[in-house]
Amino acid sequence: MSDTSTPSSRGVAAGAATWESLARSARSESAATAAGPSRWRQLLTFRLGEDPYAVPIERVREIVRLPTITPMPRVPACVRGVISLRGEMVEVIDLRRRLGMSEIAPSRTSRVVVLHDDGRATSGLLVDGVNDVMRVPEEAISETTASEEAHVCGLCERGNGFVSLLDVDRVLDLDGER
Amino acid sequence: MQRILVVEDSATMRSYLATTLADLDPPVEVREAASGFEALRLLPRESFDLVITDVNMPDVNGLELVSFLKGSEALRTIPLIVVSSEGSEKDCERGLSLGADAYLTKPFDPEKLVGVVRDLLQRRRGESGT
Amino acid sequence: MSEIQGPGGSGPGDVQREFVSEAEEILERLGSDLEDLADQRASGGEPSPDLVNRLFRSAHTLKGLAGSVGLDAMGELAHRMEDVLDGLRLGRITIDSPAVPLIHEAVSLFGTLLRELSDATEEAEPGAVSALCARIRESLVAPAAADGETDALLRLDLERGMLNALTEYEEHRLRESLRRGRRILRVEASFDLTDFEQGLATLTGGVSEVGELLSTLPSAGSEGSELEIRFVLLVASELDAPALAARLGIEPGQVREVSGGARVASASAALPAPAAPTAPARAATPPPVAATPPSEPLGDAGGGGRGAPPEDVESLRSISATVRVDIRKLDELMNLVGELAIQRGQLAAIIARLLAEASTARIGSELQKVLKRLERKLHDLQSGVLEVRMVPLQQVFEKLSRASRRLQRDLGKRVRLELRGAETELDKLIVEELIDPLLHLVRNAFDHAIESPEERAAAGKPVEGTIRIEASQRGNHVAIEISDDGRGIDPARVRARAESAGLVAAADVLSQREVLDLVFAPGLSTRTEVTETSGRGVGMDVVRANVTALGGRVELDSHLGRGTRVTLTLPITLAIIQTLLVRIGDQRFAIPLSSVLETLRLDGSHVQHSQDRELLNLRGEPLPLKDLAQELGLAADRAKRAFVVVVGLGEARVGVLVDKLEGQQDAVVKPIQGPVTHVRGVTGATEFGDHGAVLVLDVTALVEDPVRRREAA
Repeated sequence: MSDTSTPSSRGVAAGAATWESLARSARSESAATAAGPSRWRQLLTFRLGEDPYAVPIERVREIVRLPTITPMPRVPACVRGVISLRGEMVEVIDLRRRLGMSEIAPSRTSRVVVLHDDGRATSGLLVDGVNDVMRVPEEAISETTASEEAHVCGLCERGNGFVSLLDVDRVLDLDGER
Repeated sequence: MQRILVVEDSATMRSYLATTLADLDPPVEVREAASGFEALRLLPRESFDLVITDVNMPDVNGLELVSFLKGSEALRTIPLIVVSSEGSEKDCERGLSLGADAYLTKPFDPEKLVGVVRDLLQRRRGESGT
Repeated sequence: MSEIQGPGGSGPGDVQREFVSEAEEILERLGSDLEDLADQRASGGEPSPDLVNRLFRSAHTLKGLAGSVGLDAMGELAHRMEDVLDGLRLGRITIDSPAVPLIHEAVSLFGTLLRELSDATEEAEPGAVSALCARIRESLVAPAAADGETDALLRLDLERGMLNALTEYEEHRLRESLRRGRRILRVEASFDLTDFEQGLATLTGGVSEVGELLSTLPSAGSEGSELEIRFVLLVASELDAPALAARLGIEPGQVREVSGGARVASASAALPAPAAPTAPARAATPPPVAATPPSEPLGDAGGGGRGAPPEDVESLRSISATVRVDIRKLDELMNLVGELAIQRGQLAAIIARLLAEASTARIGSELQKVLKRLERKLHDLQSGVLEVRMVPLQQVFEKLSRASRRLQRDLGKRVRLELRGAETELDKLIVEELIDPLLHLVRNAFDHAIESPEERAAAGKPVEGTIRIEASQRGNHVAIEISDDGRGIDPARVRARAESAGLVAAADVLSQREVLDLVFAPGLSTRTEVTETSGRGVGMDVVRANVTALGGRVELDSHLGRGTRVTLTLPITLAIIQTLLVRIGDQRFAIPLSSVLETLRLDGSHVQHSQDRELLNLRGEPLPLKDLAQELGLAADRAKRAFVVVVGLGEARVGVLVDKLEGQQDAVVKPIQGPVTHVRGVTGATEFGDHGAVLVLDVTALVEDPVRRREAA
C-alpha cells in the first residue's frame, strides 16, 4: 500500500492508509459537527504549476506515483490513458489538459490522485504534485459563480493567495469533450 | 536449409506454428500437412529434419504418426515434437514413450517452441555432420 | 569419478550449475511425489494415474537434462527410474512390484551424485550407479504376478506399440467396447502409397457399417517397397474375424480377433474402468447422466428410485462434501489470483536484476527456484478457482424442458424437444446470462418456426415437430445449437421488409447470408408481420446483444421449408481468456485468441487496392485489410507492419495489420474504470508482469459486417 503513495516533495508524509483514515475522520467529523455553527472541511491540496488546487478529501481514495500509463484510442484528449492499480484498470485524466492549461511533461513530483466516485467508477487525476491536507471552516470557502471557471466551485483563502476547490463531478463529466 | 514438417489439422494452429518458426535463425523451410494422411504421403518422398505433429487429428492421429516414423528404417532418425492441448499430457507422454523427442501442450509459449526446435535442429546438424 | 564430470571436465561451469539447480528441484518433487505414492499404497488404494504420470514426467525430464549436459551415469540412473514408472503408468507392473522401492534408492543416489557434483561434500560409492541400475533392470524382468486385477487391455493379443499409439480417447473407446462385450479385431491391409487414401476409405467405410474403428496405425511397407504403406486397423464389432473379413471383402488372414481373454474378463467384472481413463474428475458437480456405466441397468436417470444401501451412503457423502459459494466471492478470489500473478511478475523482474549482478547472482538463482515453485502453485490455484466456477448446462436444460411442456399445452403444437450435452460446463455467470436468450430462441421456434400439425402433414413432414438443443465443448468455447425442422426463413420476405424499413436499398447486392443477418437488425425485428412469416425475429437483436456482451457470437442458418439453426458460441469462462499479444509502434495490445483465425507474414506483393480499400489475396480469396494503428488513431510508422492477424466472427473476416506478434498469453480481462464509459474497439485491459495495462481489443467492432455499416451510414 504505502509503496504506491510516497511523501511528496512538499513534505506531506501520508501513506494511502492515512489518506483513507483522514477521509474517514473527515466524514465522521462533518457528521458530528453538522449542527454546530461552523462546519469544517478537509481538502487535499495539490498543484498545477505553482497554482494550488484542492478536492474534498472524502473523494480521495489514494495517491500514487505516476505509473506507466497506457494510452487509449479514441478518447478525449484530456484522458491520458489507463493505469493498473494493483490489477484494477483506471482511467487517468490529465488535469492540465482538462482545465485547458498549457501542457508540461510529467516530472518526478507528478502524482495521480485516485478518486472515489461514490459508487460509480474510480478515476485518476494527474497533477504536478501533492501539497497537503488543509482543514478549513465551511465559511472560509467562497463560492464562485463565474461560468468560465465551471470546474472550480469555490475559492479558499490561504496565506496571501487562494486555493481553487474543484467541482469533481464536473471535472469527471467528459460529455462534449473531444 | 533445414526442413520442418508441421502436421496439424487446424489451419489457425498451423499458421501460428509456421509464423513462429519463421523466427528461427538460421532460417528453416516449413512444410505444412493438414492431416495425418497428407503427412504419410509427404514423409517417404521428401526429406525432413524435424516433424512437429498435433496429437488429436482425425484419420491418422499424431501418436500413430510417431509410431509410423519410428517403425520406419528410413525415417526413424527424424526428431519429433508432439503437440497437444492442455489436459492431454497423457497423450503427449505416450508420444514420448513411442520415441518422440519432446512435447508441447497448447497454448505454448512461442519462445519455448523456438527453443526446443532450435535444440533439436542443432543436434540433427551435429549428427549429420559427423 | 570421471564419469560424472561435465563435458568441459574442469569443475562446475555455468551449464552444470544450472543443471544442478534444476535437477535438485525435480528431485525434490520426485521425493515428495514418491511419498504420496507410498501413502496411497499404504491406504490400499490404486495409485492415482496423475501422480504416476507426474513421477514419470519428472524422471523423463531428469533423464533428458542429464543427457543434455553429458552426465551419462546420471542419465542412465534416471532412465531406469523412468522405466519403472513407465511400467507402473501403463499397468505393466503393479505398485507392489519389487521395482518400486528401488526408485526411492535411485532418487537418493541421484541426490548424492548431485551434491558430489556441486560442492564435493559427498561422494558416491564407486560402482553404485551401475549396481543399482542392474538391480532395477532385474526387478523389471520378473513380470508382476498377473492376477485378476490386471488391466483388460493387457490381455489383448496385440503388439504393445499399437496400444501406446492410442490417444486417451481411443483407449477409452477400446475399454468401452470391451465392457460392452464386443470383439476387438485387428485388420491389416497394405496399399500403394500413391492412392492409399482411397483404398483405406473403402475399408474404413466398410468397418463403420459393422462396428467402430478404434485406431488406424500406419507403418512403412516391408523392406524394399518404399511405395507401399501398411495399415493396422483396430476395430470393435459384434462380428467375428471370418465374418468381418467376408464383410469387408478381404482375405481371412488379414483379420484376427485379439480380444479372446480380455473380453470375457472385462465384461464379467462389473467394475468401472480401472484407470478412469477420461476427463479429469471434477469435484462438486454431479456426474452427468451419460457417465452412468453402461453395464448398469439404464432407466431412472434421476437416480431417485434406485436404492441399494451402499449407493445411498455414497451419495450422502457427496452431498455433505459440497459447499455453496457466492459467485462474487469466487470473483474476489479470481482477482486475488490476478494480483498474485502481477506480483509474481514484479518478483521475476527483481530476480533478473539480481542474476545480472555477479555479486548477487547466487542469491538470485536461489530465489528463482523459489519463484518457479511459486509459479506452479499459482497456476494450480488459478485453474482450481476457474474450475470451481464451472457448472453444467443441466439446470438450464431443465428450465427449457419445462418451458417447452408449457408451450405445447398453450399452443396446441406437437413438438419434441431434444436436449443433448447437458453435461457441458460453462462459467456460472455465463450460464445465468444464457437462460433468457435460450428461452427466447425456444419460444420463437415454438411460436413461429414449427408449423401447425395440419400444415406439417401437408408438407410431408412428421406431424410432430422437433426442436433440438445441442451443447458441446470446442476447445475454449462452448457451442450451443438450437435447430428446428420448421418452416425456415424466407430470405425474399426478410429482404422486402428490410427495404421497406429502410435498412437496405433496393439496389444493394446482398448475399444470402447477409440477408439472413438482417434478422438481427433492431429495426426489423420488432415488426410482427415479418416474424410470423420468417419464423424468427422477435428480439433477435436482443439475443445477439446478450450473447455478444458475454464475448460470444450468434450465427443463423436457415433453409426455407426445412428449418432453421441458430448457433451460439460462447467462451467457457469470462474470467480468463487466451489472447494473442501484438505490437504496434511502442504499444502492445491483446486480441482474444477466440477470434483469431490465423496469422500471416505480410507479403506486400499480395496486396491490392480496390478504391480506398486494401485487399490481400489470401489463397485466392480477397481479405480486406485494416491497419490497426489507423483504426485506433495511433501515430505509428506504417512501413513497420509486418504481420496480418486474420480475425473473424462468423463469416466476416478481416486482416488486421500489426508490427509484431508477441505470442499467446492468458489474460484476466478487467473493465476500465473512469469517466469514459465505452471506447469502440476496446473491451477492457489486462496486465502481464509489471509493464502496466495492456488494452484488450474488441474485434467484433473491428470486423463490422457490411450490413451494419450500411445501417450506420
